[in-house]
Amino acid sequence: MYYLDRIKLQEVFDDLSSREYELVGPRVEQEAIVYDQIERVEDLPKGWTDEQSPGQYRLKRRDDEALFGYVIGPHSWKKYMFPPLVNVLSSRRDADGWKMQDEPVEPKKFALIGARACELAAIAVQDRVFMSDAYVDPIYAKRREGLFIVAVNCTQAASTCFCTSMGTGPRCQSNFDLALTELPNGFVVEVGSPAGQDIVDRLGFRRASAAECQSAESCRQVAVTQITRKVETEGIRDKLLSRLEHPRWDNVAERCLSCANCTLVCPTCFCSSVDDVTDLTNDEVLRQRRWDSCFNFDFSHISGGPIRNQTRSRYRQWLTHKMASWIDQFGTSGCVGCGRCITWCPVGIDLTQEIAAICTDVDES
Amino acid sequence: MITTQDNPKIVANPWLSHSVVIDAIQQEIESVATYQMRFVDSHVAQGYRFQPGQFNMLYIPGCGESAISHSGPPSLDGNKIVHTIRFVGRVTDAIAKLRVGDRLGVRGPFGTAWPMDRCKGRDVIVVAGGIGLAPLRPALYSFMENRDDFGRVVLLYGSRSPELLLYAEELESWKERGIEIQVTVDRATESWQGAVGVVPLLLDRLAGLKPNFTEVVMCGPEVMMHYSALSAIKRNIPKESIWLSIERNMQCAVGLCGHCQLGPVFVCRQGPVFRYDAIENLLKVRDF
Amino acid sequence: MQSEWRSRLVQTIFGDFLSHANLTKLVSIAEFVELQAGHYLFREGQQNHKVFVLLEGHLDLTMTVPGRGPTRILTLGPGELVAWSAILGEGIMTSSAICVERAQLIAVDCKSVLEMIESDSEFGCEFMKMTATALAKRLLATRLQMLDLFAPNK
Repeated sequence: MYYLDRIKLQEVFDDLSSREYELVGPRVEQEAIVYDQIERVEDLPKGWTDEQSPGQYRLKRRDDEALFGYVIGPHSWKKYMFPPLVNVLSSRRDADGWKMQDEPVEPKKFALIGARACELAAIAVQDRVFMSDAYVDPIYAKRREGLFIVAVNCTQAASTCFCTSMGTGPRCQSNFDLALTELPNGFVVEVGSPAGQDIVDRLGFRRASAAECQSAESCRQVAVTQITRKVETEGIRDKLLSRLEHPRWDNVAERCLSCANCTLVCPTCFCSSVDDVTDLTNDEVLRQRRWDSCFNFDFSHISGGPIRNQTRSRYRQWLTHKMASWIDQFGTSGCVGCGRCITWCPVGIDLTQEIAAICTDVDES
Repeated sequence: MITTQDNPKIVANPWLSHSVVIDAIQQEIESVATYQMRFVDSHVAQGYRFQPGQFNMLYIPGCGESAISHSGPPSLDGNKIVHTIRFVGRVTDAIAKLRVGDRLGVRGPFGTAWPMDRCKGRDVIVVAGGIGLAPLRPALYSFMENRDDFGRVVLLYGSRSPELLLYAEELESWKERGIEIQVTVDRATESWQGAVGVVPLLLDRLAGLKPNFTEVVMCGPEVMMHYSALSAIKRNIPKESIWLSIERNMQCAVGLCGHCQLGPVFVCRQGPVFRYDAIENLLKVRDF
Repeated sequence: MQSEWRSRLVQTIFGDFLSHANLTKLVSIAEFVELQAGHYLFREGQQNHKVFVLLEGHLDLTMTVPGRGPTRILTLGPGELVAWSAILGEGIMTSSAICVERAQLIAVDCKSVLEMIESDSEFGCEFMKMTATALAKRLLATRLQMLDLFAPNK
């Protein structure tokens, strides 16, 4: 373990910038903490915290100057590897007819500042989605290659968090280059990769003292004790997939607006659609991939209409995919327990409650 | 050309479509036509192969793509790609406006194939409904081209009415090449001489059936396939010998966009041809 | 002769539902019928007091719509029950049955069957289950026809 003085954090930023990394991290914008470009430590949400509950998100001032004293906001890091809008093909029509052309994949180097354990798990989940099967998404792969991750261990939890149930946090275990635990005057730093070690060596971080390590451990423990929400994951796949006509689906369908907020904020959701954009002559066409959501009415459209033409079937698709079918497809759950879907649902649907209601056998209740 | 079978991991743009030119158009039944096309790039044409049951994504730039199964002989390469298309939406309506000599984009082949190897040395019952005969035609061509490799081959085909029977004239030539054919319609016209009623009834009463020696391959409306599968099972054909082709919304065709999911299964990758027992439970919930 | 039909009857819907003993009972009151192509087994609107099972051949059921003439609504094949409505109602047929190609059937007089049903409840149960199943299958087939599954969806 190493120690980094608070005032030296900017050196880490500068080092990354000098090596052409685009720094992205948390900032306060539109009364939320979102991920955007940052350059200086001053850009971080110093002294802010968030209060979250179903359908509620508010920023509040802290009584200290912590740089990472909040949990997570509506943005996830997926927008950097899996951009919300990207060109995938271009076509040009000449005298002979249409000619299609590959769109070059731009290499990108992003340095994620402040990624939480649940988010690292989400990146690992998306790595499996986009890179582990027969077809690898070249856009995701290129951007993933160029990623540098400065993770942050949570020292508090929101009421909506349930990473402990999903086995993804709150402690950062892997998938990072550096992991910071914030103390009042600096950070205890763990190295997760040779690239991380390289920065530590070049910038000359000193070793952390036993007291500092102990302090960091206590701070991390606070996050653990603050987690209240739970999901029983034992047997969840079989339970959900064998209860596809459970009355609870009707119940949640009455509340759900099918607005797709949950899929937008979810760090693992990966559904997309493609559209053609043409110029005025209709001779130049750009094919663009954009985020889509299984909650959108036409998502499952075949000739005659959508297969899931009711909110009930669409909510069921989302929940069973996330918590059950995903396991069949990719070997892990699709959920990392970040709780964003609970916070950002306009009507406050809490999937941990829905799961509990559906998976509880009559004689167990 | 990308093939799903051979390459272990493909890190290439899955959206890259190749130009094809239309060489021939044949009007079939109402709102259906068969297009014969060829890749403009002869290298691509020569390297292209598909298996019966697989599909291509047909692309009209500015409009969109449509997943269409192959309907031609699998022994041919990319110089003669055949697609029978029903005009039911934005993209297929745009294809309907194309003429011989026009170009569009094709990428593929995608998806799983009819179990031709499993059918070797066995009887085969081909159950088709309406436009569902089109994705089965490549398999039928294979049966006819290698007739001795297979046992009895029976086609049970149903459509709405006699004038909506696809490939009606061609069916006679198939009889001459060793395919037993029974045709039925939902609604008869005065001149119709064949059977009246739904396709599963033909399977219910098919004589000379050897349930442990038979593969059943099916394509048509999902409800029809569901009841045909039940008929097959009632006649003691094992579920592992029943195969069907499922339709879902396809966009990327490579299992990355999420649209085609049926429970845990990506229809574009683990389908569209499925063994019945693999998706039996998923099909039970109609709007899953 | 009877034993010859009996073994063929076992292959039909009768064999699926009637026990060995009850099938024997039925055979004792059954007759063999042969029909040439184009001939009617029974006519729409007329009384018919026999219920049949097809051993071989095909029958077309037709219903007449004024202005349209007789319309074929269903083709029946070997193994199937024909004229089940004779058992259940007053024996007025709701459709005509025409032989498509030479057909062989087993016919059973309804009055005798009904007497058997009254006197032997076990036989009655089996026979009625068979009739209900045939009806259910016919209903499903009719529904599938009605759903117009092949109509192009737009």
